[in-house]
Amino acid sequence: MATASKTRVTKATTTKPVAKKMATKVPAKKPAARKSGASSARPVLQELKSLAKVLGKAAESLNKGRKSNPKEVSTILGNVERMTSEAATQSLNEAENAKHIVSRLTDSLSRDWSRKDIETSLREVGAHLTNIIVAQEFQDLAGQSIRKAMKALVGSIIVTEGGGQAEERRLSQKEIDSLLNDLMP
Amino acid sequence: MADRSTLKFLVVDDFSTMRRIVRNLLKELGFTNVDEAEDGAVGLARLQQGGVDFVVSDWNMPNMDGLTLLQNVRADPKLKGLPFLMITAEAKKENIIAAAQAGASGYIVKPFTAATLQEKLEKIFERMGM
Repeated sequence: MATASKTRVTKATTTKPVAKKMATKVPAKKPAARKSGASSARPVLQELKSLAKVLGKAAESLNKGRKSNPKEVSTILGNVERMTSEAATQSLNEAENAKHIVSRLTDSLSRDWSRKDIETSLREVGAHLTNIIVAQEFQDLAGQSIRKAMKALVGSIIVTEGGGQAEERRLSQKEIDSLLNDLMP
Repeated sequence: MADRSTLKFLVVDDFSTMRRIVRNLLKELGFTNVDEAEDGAVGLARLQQGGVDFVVSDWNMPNMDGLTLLQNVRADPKLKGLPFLMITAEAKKENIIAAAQAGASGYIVKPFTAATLQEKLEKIFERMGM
């Protein structure tokens, strides 16, 4: 997301000034046109004006894209966040319930216990585990949503030559531990 | 050595799921006295009330991030000695350096395991003579 928004900003900032530059350069040509004859300068002037117009329109359409796409992407990603949160909550609820049954079962072993009770408890634990597995289906749904978000972003992304500034590498826990050992007193 | 099981933990994270995961892992490790805060500002207010022995905090949070919370903790004469474990997805070299310079007691990168949490807690306890 951060890279995408960065590239969008790059696009808007590189296009707009070009249009502005064209527009501001036009009056500067006027004195020269008066000196060498208006007839030869006029077509160039007209061409520059129309080019500035085209660039201006292109910049406008880019800005329009900037406004609409992130909104769509934001909605999609908001749904992904909701889905992942629901799945995590459901999984945690199921795991906590299963652990509660296991704990109850362990306690009962030191007291009176029956095969029937143990079977029932094991079935309950199995059901909770199944529910945890089912909750993981959010990954499929979230994956689809992310693909949709990526498609929505494509219209407003300009891939900068060379891929832009390389993002700093994430360190592993081992590398972090080693770095901290060096840094900490 | 003091009875570690009575230690009061404060888990600071804007995601309730992550707070819950950390709380569960701490419980698994025998630490049942756990309080929660949803961002650095709430966390700092909670710490200033007193009674917290250990802080486990995320980095990226609204209102006040984990690094600012850590800096505030270290700047407060009453809180500056608190063990402060950072659990975060931020894993760039500059993050680790900033956390170390601010006085973090430990740093865990997400996703992490219960074993990693246990190992880092042990290391901090050992270093602080707890």
